[in-house]
Amino acid sequence: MASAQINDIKARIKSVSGTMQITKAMELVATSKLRYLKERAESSKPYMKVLLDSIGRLSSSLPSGESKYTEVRKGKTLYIVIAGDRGLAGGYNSNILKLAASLDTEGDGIYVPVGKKAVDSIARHEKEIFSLALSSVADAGVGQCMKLAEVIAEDFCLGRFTSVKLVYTRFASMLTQVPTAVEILPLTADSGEKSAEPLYEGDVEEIIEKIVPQYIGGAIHAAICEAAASECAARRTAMNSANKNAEEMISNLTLSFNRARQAVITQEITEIVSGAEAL
Amino acid sequence: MNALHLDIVCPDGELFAGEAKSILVTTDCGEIQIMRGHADLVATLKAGRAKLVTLSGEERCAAVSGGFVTVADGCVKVVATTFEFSDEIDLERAKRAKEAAEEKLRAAKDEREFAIAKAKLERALSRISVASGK
Repeated sequence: MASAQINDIKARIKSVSGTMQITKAMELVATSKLRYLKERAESSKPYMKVLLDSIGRLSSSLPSGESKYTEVRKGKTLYIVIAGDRGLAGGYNSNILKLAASLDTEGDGIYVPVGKKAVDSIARHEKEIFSLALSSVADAGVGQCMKLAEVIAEDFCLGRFTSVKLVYTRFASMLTQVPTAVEILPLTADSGEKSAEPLYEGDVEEIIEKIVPQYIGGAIHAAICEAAASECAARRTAMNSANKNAEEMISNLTLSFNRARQAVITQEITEIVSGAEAL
Repeated sequence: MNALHLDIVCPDGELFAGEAKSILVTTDCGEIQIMRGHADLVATLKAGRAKLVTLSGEERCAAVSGGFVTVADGCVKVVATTFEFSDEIDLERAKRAKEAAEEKLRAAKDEREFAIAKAKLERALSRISVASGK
């Protein structure tokens, strides 16, 4: 009876330490990847800043009603939801998917899922999918983002959807990542006074037509970079706490193992002593 | 002083931020050179060369593959899809890309494919010409 209990505990300890080996390895991998991903996210920031700045100026200098891109219309929304390719990253995937679901109150949103987890979840909820061009975060490069952006800009002008929202996880710090939603289309003019109209090299419409896809593509790319860093940081934190929990479990189990072993020894001695006394 | 404030960014990062003498870029309407005191401007870029003249008078050539340039309040911002200085260009890779693009151009079935292949060829050619210093 007691020895069966001892064997049980032994098996538990073995399985927990096996899991711990995996979580430890994953933590190390996440830590080393994080450094590179964080740098990439940092280096995509100046581009985004300049881009937003220029777009803001540009749209505020446009005469109102001039472009489809600044016009606020009623209609569907396109959600670009960026989650991870793999799980085991704490609440990373579920938080971002929850945020996306809470935004789409009407339930008629069109989706561009980025990352395998987003693809799976959106397919499961039977939502309308716009494109699967970026189904894997790891392979999403600038080129693909730009290509997708062109299709998005085209369909936006045709009115298939009338606003575009980016749903991604902002990398606030190594320990905090915030699920965020940003509206990238229609363009919102700078709140300041209307700036003077600059010189346009060529036709205004054509220029806007060319710049907006770049802006969308740039925004998607920057968001993916940031989300990838967030995913890695979330995974590292999750694995770190998994390690701590495993250590605690092992120490508790070892304690009960020793107690059980001691109990068996004590019982055997009692039996021997009482047997000797009976003689 | 004849310095202008210049920012060059592409999705991979910031390539230049600070003062320069002038910047020459290839817009859809042709090459323009921007110096201090330029009027506010918005122009789209096409695949082609760019030339940056630093404060010390040094010239640096680069291959750009699209994007746009804005001038506002004396600040020049070049927002490029890719921007490579001549010493960073992989000439062999550009040559291979040129061959591949030519192949695709011949095989193109519709207008869209043709346009994509043409844009690829233009990018490769601008890289080659910048890298070989012509």
